[in-house]
Amino acid sequence: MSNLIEVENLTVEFSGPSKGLFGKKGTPITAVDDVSLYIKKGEALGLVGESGSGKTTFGRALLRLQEPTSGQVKMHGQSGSKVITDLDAKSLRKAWQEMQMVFQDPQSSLNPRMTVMDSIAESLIVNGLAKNMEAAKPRVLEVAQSCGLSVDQLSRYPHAFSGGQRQRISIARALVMQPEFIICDEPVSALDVSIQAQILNLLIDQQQELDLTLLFISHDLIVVAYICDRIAVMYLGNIIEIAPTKDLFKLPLHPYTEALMSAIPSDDPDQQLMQAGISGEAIGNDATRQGCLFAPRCQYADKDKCQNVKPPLTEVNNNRLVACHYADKLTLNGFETI
Amino acid sequence: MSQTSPTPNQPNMVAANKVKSIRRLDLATSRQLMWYKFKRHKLAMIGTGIIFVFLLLSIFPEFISTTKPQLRDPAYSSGPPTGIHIFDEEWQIHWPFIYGHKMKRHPVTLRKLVVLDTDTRVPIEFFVRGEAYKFLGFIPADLHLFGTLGTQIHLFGTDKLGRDIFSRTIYATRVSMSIGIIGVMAAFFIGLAIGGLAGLKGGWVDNVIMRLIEFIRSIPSLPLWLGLAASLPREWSATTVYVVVTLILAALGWTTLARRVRSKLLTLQNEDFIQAARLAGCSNYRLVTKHMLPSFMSYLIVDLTVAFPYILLAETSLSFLGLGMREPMVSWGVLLFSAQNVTALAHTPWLLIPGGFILVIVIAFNFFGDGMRDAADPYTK
Ligand SMILES: Nc1ncnc2c1ncn2[C@@H]1O[C@H](COP(=O)(O)OP(=O)(O)OP(=O)(O)O)[C@@H](O)[C@H]1O
Ligand code: SF4
Ligand SMILES: [Mg+2]
Repeated sequence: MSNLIEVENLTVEFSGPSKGLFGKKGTPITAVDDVSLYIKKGEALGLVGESGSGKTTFGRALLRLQEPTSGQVKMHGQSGSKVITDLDAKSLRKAWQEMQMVFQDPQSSLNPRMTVMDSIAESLIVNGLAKNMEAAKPRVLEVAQSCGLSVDQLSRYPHAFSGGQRQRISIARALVMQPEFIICDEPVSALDVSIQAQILNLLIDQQQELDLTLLFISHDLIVVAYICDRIAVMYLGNIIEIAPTKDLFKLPLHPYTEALMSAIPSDDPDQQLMQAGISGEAIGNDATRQGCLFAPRCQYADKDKCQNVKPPLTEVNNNRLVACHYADKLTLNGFETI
Repeated sequence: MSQTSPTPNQPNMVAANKVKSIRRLDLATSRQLMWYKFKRHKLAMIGTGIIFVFLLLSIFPEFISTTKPQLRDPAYSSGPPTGIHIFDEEWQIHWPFIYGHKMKRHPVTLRKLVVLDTDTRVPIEFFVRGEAYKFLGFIPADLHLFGTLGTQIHLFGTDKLGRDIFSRTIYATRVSMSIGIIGVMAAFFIGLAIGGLAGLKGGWVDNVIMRLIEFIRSIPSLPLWLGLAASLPREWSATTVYVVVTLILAALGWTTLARRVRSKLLTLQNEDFIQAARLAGCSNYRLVTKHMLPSFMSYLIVDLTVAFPYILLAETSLSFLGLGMREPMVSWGVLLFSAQNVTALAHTPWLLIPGGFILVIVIAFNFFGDGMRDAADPYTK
């Protein structure tokens, strides 16, 4: 299968908080650090990592909602290949017809002043696919129904809906232009557990039916495993391991992945890491850091290589990509039941 | 809407009512939600009523006043408010009336004194024909809300020149309110444009604008107004002065608004629903006008209602100091100007009545602003 999305050396830096009266720029924070990966057509790729690891920033940078500092994003869609990172504003807007996003917080991702109908129809009208509301209606009804919204609800405003329903609306809005690629940024983490499964199932159904390609961002390994074919693990802006879901769970190669897994039963990721014997905060990633970023928290770290040489994401064993000096020597525990 | 027949079952009724009310809210636009919330604020509703009355006064002063602001009644100069009576000297009840008056001199001090002439009773009439004027500026009319035929009624008394304070106050309402409204509108557009520029362009444009705003705000306002107003040439006509004073007040009032617009734009740009709208393909223009502006317009309106009394008071202060409006254009400040010295206050305290109007409208706007602030974010309980 061919690749839909190719990311090469994508880096996003934020200028740190400015110091002093005259706003001298602080040291920049590297939220996404030289990430390269691909997403195959029709695949669901999961992106996991703890809070602040740069998942959202990565997703936004793919769409250029956040301008990357350097690197390239390519998309090989049905309308031909393009380098997203080189597009001008107008072509970017056009490219967005093919790539969409579902946001984390259903409370803030819908304009409270527009009816649900208007929100879903907006892109059809703005992109000139429908002249007016009337013309947009059939498509809006179709996509709304497929997302489990009833037609007579559409003239309401978002405040009339529960979190789960709002997330359905967001998904319908993302799907209305029939995009090929959708980024879901923690689409269920703000929802009740009882609702999460419904929304996940909706996403799976839609993905299969429409042959969508997904980037599914979450801090919850179980949720990601439920949906994704492959999983990328992010730590402080770096992809430290990427593997097919089954393989990753059976045999994690990176100590951080192991730590995430050993704590799975818990809901709270910070709690998870505590149980896994990982303490302390992830220390910010800036240019002055050297060695393995995970070393301060890694129980397998040595005093020499791990402290001084940053392990690159390399292939070990059978086509597995991992960024750890000892990946082929350590035997780590996976999570059996998957 | 047709309803099913009423059930004796009480809980069901309640449930049905609840469902109905939820549905009404579901379909409510943000404006309706704001209105529901605003309505619950009693003081704000009172304030709204008062503001409405003042607006009527400023639209129809010719009709409501009894005479022209510059017209003199030499026979009644420095006269106290005309008493309205129902009983005459013999305790006979009548339709409300006023007594006629005569001018006399004090036997010792020789000061002019107005003496009531209890022999003449002049009934108060509604919708009397009086002085001709142009209704709304172009329709010839001579109808007045109330008045008397023969002896002039001076509800709030007269000043030294015998001009009717009531009529002058009503006309002044128009001038003062319009300065407030135009000043606030001008401040609104300047603030929107400059704040919008700072918030959307960012970078050095933002920096320059923010420093400019800080500079303007750090100047003590009274000396600044004084300086600007004092530099107006004396020979300018009253109308020119009116326009320029309004602009000066607006030029100083926009900074709060510009800051608000800028900070709202900056925070909104990172909101998910704005990002979603970008992804939907909205142009920057649509993004700003359709998604961003509506979501903070209500806060701007709150700022405006708060700014209004300030502009009003600023105008009053300027005119009171003799630097703002001047005759023949009367504003509340101009009216108070003549109440400046102690003798005037001691002998003709009714000159202060226009001050009461200022008090009332400022308080009304504060109530109104409170209600607006509560209603500005209709999505919180
Ligand atoms: N606009 C910004 N300006 C400065 N720093 C930012 C900005 N956005 C994110 N960051 C920083 O970049 C890093 C990555 O943030 P990001 O939101 O991408 O993490 P995340 O993995 O999505 O976390 P979460 O699970 O909490 O959503 C964090 O350290 C954050 O503080
Ligand atoms: S490189 Fe060293 S510190 Fe980093 S994960 Fe591997 S063992 Fe741990
Ligand atoms: Mg995030």
